[in-house]
Amino acid sequence: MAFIEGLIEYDFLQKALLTSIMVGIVCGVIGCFIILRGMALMGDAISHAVLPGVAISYAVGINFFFGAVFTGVLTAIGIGFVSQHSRIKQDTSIGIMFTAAFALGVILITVLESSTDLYHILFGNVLAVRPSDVWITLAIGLIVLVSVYVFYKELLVTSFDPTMAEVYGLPVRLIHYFLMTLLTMVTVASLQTVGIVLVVAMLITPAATAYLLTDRLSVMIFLSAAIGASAAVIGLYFSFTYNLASGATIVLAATAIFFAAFLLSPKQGILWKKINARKNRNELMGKNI
Amino acid sequence: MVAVLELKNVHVSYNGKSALQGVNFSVEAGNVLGIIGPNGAGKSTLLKALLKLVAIDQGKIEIFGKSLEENREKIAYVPQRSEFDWDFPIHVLDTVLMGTYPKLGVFKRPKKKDREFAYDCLEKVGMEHFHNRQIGELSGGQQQRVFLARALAQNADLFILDEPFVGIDMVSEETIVKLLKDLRDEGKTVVVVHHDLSKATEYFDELLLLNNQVIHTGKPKEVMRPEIMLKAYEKELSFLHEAGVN
Repeated sequence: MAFIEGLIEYDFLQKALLTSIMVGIVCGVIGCFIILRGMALMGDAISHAVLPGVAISYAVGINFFFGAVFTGVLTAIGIGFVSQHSRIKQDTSIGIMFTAAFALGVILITVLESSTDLYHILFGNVLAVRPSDVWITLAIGLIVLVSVYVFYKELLVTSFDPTMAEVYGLPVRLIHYFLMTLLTMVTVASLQTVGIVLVVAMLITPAATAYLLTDRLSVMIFLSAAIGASAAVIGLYFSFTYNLASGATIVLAATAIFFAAFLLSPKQGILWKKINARKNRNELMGKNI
Repeated sequence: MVAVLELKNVHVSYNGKSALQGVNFSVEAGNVLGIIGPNGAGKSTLLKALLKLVAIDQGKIEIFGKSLEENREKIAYVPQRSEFDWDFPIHVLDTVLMGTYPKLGVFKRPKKKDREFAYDCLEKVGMEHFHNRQIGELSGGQQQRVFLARALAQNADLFILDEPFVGIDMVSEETIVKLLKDLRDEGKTVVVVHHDLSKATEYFDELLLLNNQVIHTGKPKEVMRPEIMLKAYEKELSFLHEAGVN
């Protein structure tokens, strides 16, 4: 297989595979909390909101990680501020703030005439991953995984029952912003692989797939990570073999896995539901005769 | 003896509209207190004020003679069933296990003995056979029992329940009432927001009749008198006048 040979032969492909798998894993892990908290739109918003930060970082000459985290978290705070201090609902507030940040980013990139390629930031280009990017992805991945492991209990209770969490004294709002910070970091890690526009798919789709397959959060997290990583490998294979955009192939691989679960999941799959419904109906009919 | 709960002249408002006005009352340890009153009387608001989930405009609330912050570990709160996402991927036993979190603190994970304790609490509500079910698969009454088990796992001294008997079966209701009375007999205090007046005299040792302000407090037999109840439920009954019934 050309892909395996390519892996052995080309250093860039090894780097691409390593970062893609890591991105698949961390997006899968954080994505579980994002969908359970009903924050899918928030994931989309934060990923777009890193753009101005990336632009400024390139212009100033620092690693884009710092700028991206800064504007990402700032937007999350802005969204919270607007919805808490007016009658504007959260999803509306998200719509206002992230488009503003994204628009600002587009203008900054044009004005600063930085060497950043807007297209690569928006859609990713995993085959052009530099060694420093691999390290950033690995470091972010480690921070995110350790954070989720250490604060698993707190993330679980604030996702499931924020009222109880608040009553027993957990800083619920601080935990929300902590999660937003992790989300921003994950987005930054995903920039090279899938790009800003499609990162939300890596956050939502593997987690949603896992959600259809299990009734336990801990299992869901592992499944989601595994699905994210598999999608990354499958997507990268198609990207390399057929010379397609890597972000798009990875996302479509995740979508394909989702629909397989949607149809075939033992408990939630629509196929089994149909079969069981028919079985029940036939049994009832049989009784009546 | 220090009152478990003491409210002095508590005022709460939502968006400029007054929800509670000058609420005064106290509860001693070893009581099951029922808070009753018509819809919109501020019953849930009162609980939220106790737990500092809503800010109070005026007045003072003391729990065991101190502020809430100093006593968080002694309180177990059971929210209304409608507040939960019943599709959440969590099993019954893991839900009860959450009750051990407050005393564990950050960084520590529940150990085997915590799981065993959670299982014991499930046994007390008669739900141990359902320990590995997803919570959405249970009936309303079973769900309520699981959340009571979680409160038991908190090992609290003050239990606060918001409308625990809404839409549940008789077996669950009886199980819960019996457990609340057992807790009382152990010297714990139970506060329940309740809206079905028919059982109020059986279930509670003390009643607080609320309609934005305290209408009456005392033993159920004192409170559940027609002339007193009418004061709180006047609006609800106004249709009688309109229909020409007097």
